[in-house]
Amino acid sequence: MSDELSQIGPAIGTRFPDLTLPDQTGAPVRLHDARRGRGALVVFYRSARW
Amino acid sequence: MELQGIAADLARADIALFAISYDSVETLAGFAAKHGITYPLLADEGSRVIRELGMLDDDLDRHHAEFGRQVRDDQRGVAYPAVFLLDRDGIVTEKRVHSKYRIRDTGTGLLESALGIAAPRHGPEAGAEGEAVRVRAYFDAPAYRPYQQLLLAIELTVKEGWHVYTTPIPVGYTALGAELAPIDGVDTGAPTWPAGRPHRVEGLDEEFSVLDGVIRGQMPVTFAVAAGTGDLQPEVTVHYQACSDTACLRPATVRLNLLVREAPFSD
Repeated sequence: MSDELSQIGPAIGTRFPDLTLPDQTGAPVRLHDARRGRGALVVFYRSARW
Repeated sequence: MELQGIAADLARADIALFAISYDSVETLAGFAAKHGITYPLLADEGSRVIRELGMLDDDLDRHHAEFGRQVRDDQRGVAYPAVFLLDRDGIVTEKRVHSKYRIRDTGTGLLESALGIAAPRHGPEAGAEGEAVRVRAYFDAPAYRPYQQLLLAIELTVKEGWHVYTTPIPVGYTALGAELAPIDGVDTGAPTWPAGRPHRVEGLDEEFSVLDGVIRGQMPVTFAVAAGTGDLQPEVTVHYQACSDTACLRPATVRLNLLVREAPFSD
């Protein structure tokens, strides 16, 4: 493997960027608000379809 | 998706859970209903956020070609499978990014990463996954005190049927190795690895020494810094070359960023 995967996406030690996206009900979710001061696991996955 | 199984554990640990993909709200609504998903599935249709965060898998053609699959137009815009752990301030403390995937492996690898992140036994980990080797690195404690020595653990998990070279090694091949990028005051010792076993390759005169399965190396790291230095972000680089009985991959260089906090001063 010659690509540096750990360079992809937000770096350790930095604040995860805030984002607002709709959830499965269509309601907008703003990440850092929805966390409500808790830690969080943010998981990127390829697709629910394939 | 398998994450639902750990959703309850995460809730008990007071850790929020969010999943992001480029699927539409409609797709996710059906998926959530079908699988009883209780945590937010965020719909980044159009992949705007995926792109902004640098999570777009822009090497999809190469990834799919390795498994003899064509890329469909509707697959462009997909993100790298990845897991990020954020602390209560929203700071990323651990991450795992996966590049290669087989259709049946991805869910397991991702869940393993999520579980490993959700229940850490040691300092924060960084990891990366390649074609034949998965690499993880972590310190044996999450924080250092000035002049304290921590052990940096580097763990390679080599896929069945593959091995990596170690010393002694013929000229022209890459042996397993690791080093830490210099930081003022941070002194590192040479990493120690398990001894390899002899390995002969059919048709070649040279004898190799190889390691396979789960390989654990460690490197002593002394934080000879003044009190008040604060958080440090050591970068460890791991080199290896993976081969199977029939093929060798190109030598790999993996750079992992770690976070080590300074332990709070206590009387």
